[in-house]
Amino acid sequence: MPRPPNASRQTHVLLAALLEQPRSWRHGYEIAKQTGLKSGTLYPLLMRLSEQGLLQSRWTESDQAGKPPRHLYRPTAAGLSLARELCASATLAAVQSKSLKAGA
Amino acid sequence: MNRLAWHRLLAQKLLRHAVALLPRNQSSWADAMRAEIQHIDDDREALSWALGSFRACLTERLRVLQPHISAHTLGALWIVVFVISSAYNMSIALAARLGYQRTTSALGWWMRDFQYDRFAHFADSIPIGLFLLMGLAVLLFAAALKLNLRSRPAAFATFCCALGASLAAWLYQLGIPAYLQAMSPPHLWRIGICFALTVSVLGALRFLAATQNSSVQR
Repeated sequence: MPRPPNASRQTHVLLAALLEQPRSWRHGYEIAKQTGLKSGTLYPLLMRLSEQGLLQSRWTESDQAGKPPRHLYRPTAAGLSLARELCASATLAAVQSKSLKAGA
Repeated sequence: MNRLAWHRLLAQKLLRHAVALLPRNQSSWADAMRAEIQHIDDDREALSWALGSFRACLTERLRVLQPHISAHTLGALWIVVFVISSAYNMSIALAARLGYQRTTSALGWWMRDFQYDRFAHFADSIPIGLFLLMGLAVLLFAAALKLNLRSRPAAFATFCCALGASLAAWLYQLGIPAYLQAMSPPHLWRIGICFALTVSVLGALRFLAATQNSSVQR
């Protein structure tokens, strides 16, 4: 059976991190630091989410002189909705797992 | 040059090659990766970031290739095999010709019954023109690979030229008596089978591509 899109643990981690500050624009390195994802995992995820319309991006001038502009990311309304949905189901799964362990 | 600067330099070079792998319509992501590394102050971390970005670009390229797996991916893999084998053949023959016994023996360690003395005798009889032909084949294979990764139509023609140069080099070798003495008959058969297989695979790929194009036009 094919796996549903955005079902990986890394996608959940990324969406959960984006959900923490849904309005603010953040750059790739900052997201990588926060989530612990390596750039090799992070960029394909950002590309996928952007393609699916779950993430918006823009360029901004750097604060530091002589440094190039940075690419910033922020979840779209659809992305936020999906992130909330996934976080809710993850919380539910965690509660169910805890109650199963307690019952056993 | 200190160690940290070396890390930074390698990271930048790696990223420059990595972004070349990405399809043109995703060039903004390539720019994003290149820009981001300039904002990482730690050189080691920059190198780690560049390695990850390289993996990301490669993943993305492979994902884009997936729908064309019958033509592009197989073609690219096939060319990789030829680039490696042609470069290897040229290296071992050149090392023997220049009298680097250790290098030649190291390159031939995996071959059963590899004897430096016999091989050096063969390598000595190789004319310079043949080395140039082998070098040309390697360059053409590499160019074909690059064109194939960029989905350029010239990739197939370049690969055919490379294959022609490689075949010419092989036929040229057959004219050298020392080659026939150095190589056992089963080895010659294997090379012949490899060429026949290549022609069949390429023919099949070409046929599939033509069939796909005609069905799209319809």
